Amino acid sequence: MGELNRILHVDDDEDIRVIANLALELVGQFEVLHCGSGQEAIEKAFDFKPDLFLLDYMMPDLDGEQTLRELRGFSGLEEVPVIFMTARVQQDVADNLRRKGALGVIPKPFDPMELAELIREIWKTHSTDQLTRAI
Amino acid sequence: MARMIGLRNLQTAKPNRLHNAVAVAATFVVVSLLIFNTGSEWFLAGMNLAYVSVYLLFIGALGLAVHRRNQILKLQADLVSEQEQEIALIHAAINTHALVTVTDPQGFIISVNQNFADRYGYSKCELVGKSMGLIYPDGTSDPVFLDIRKSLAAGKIWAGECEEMTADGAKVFMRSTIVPMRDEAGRHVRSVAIRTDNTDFHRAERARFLKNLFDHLQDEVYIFNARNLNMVYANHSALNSSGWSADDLSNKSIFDADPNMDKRFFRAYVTPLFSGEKEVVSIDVNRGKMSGEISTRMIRGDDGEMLFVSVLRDATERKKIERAKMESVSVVSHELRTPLTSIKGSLRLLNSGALGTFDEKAQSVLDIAVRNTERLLLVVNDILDLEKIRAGKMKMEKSNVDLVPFINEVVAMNKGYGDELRVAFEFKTDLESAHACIAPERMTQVLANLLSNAAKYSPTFGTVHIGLREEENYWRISVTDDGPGIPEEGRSAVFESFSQLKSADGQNRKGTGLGLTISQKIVHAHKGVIDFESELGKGTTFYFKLPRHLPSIVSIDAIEAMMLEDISDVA
Repeated sequence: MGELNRILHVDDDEDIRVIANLALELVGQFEVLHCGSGQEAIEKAFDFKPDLFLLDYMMPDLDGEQTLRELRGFSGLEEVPVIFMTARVQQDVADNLRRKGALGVIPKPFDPMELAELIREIWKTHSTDQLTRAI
Repeated sequence: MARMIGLRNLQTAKPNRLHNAVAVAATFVVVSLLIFNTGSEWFLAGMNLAYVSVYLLFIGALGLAVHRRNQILKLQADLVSEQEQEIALIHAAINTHALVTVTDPQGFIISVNQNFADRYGYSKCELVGKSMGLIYPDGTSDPVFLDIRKSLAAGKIWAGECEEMTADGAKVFMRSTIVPMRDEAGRHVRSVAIRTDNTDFHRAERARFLKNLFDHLQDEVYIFNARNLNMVYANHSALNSSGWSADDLSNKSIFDADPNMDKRFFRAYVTPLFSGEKEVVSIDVNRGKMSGEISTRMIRGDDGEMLFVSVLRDATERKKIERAKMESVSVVSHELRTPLTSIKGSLRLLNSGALGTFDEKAQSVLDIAVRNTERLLLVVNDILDLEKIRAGKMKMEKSNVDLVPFINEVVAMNKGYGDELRVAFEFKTDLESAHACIAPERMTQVLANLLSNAAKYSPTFGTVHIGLREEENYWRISVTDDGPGIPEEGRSAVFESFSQLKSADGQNRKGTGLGLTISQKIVHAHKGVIDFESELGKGTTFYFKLPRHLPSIVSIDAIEAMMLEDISDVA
């Protein structure tokens, strides 16, 4: 897993998209594509070629997991790692998502000043893990 | 009695009249004979035949009269003896059937029959001279006793049913008739009481009433022997859902009621009843679409046998509502947390200076918004916690934890909060280690809550003392502040939801009002105790106690052995 630059962020709440945008672009210096629904993400993901999916877990129509399944269906996006964000505090939901291969689960409310750093941290830990496993 | 005596007088009168008639006839004959003897010549000469005839007639009449008299006398004697026999028989029957007492006008016992002595558990001689008050629940001041005395004194017969008491205090139900006896001057000299024992009838009637009630109860009721688990009783609902008929109940055991029931599990389920740890044990069950709760308690039957009474209540509706409620709480939490995420995020960005700086006034307003958002989030989290605990969804993964390093760690974690309020935390204990079985995450929550409360109520530059010591079978963890204290009248409200007491020093402090409620629930889930001691103006010590001994894993065999032991104790 290389450098983390491009993040595809999906959240149905517009205000949260604005804050996440500030947190990731202004504070974190990432290149971010924000989508308001799973459907929108599916339409735009292939052209954007993200390094990471950052998905809200609870969304109407297509939820986070369903969106991920669709996104992974595109060629070139099969291996893109995912981090979920959730306002549901249940530990079992988070554990379950990690078991299914999510890099991390970030609880809402998140701290916009720390979000970018948190994502980099998760990314780094995961890369090291992969590296260790490869060796 | 009076009627019988009258009859006897009537019968003795008839033979007396006959007796007089015979006497008159005899006198007439004697006078005739004298006349005949003085004028025998004249008699022989003319009137011979006629006189002889009259004479013979008189003799015959006399003989007949005497014979009749004897016959009547014999009849009379027979009748009297028959009556005496009858009276003796009646007396014997009453004596055998009923409980008889004779008392003086003040209610002191003159004599009792054997039945009475036996039923009330006294000997005949120990009762003589005692007041009848001793068989009434309230003694000589018992209202029934007084009512009887009053009625007898007025010369009236008292009849009725009432509850009385035997020597060993057992209750008996008696149907009594008590008759006052008077002398010739009309004075009340004694009373005769006849009682019949109605206790069994009463008991049967009550049992019938209860059975009728149970039979038609909507809940399923199973009563079975605690020793062999054989069925004793099942009500209509229970029979229906088990597919039994009332007739073949005696061949069934409780395990026939539900083929899925695991014997070992069942024994483990009822163990707390034997150990006396609990009076009622409950368990949720699902049967097809129905979900319910079985509650079981143990009672001693009339014959001394220990019985289990299990009641299965259909809780399908309640569970449905509960589930819906949980879902709505979860939805609300989501709906609240989403906007809070935006608010908190926006404020954080503004406050960080990343979007430019504010002047002092604007900054102070921003700080208010930040603080209150934080508070709102805490309330939402606390409500969720409480709801989780209430629904039994709070994770309580317990492990063996040494409380000494554990407390040190939690205190260190909360140091930052103390620093903000300029309050120091100081943990001291004489113990080197203190092992307990706790859910560390939850216990952290409890201790952190007590620490933050203590810090909030401490004066600036104060110190909060944390202690740990052994107390009987518990570890006692205490958090002491030297704040304003809690008035005694506020005691009951301390652990209530959303109750933030008006502080003794009049200052308001921030908090959700749920912290102690949650802490209490967590401590209770550890079979612990939480409470406080406080002195106004001096400070408050909140403490919680956790069981010292790690709960040992009891094998099923041990439980079974214990059950048998308990049963043999009972037997």
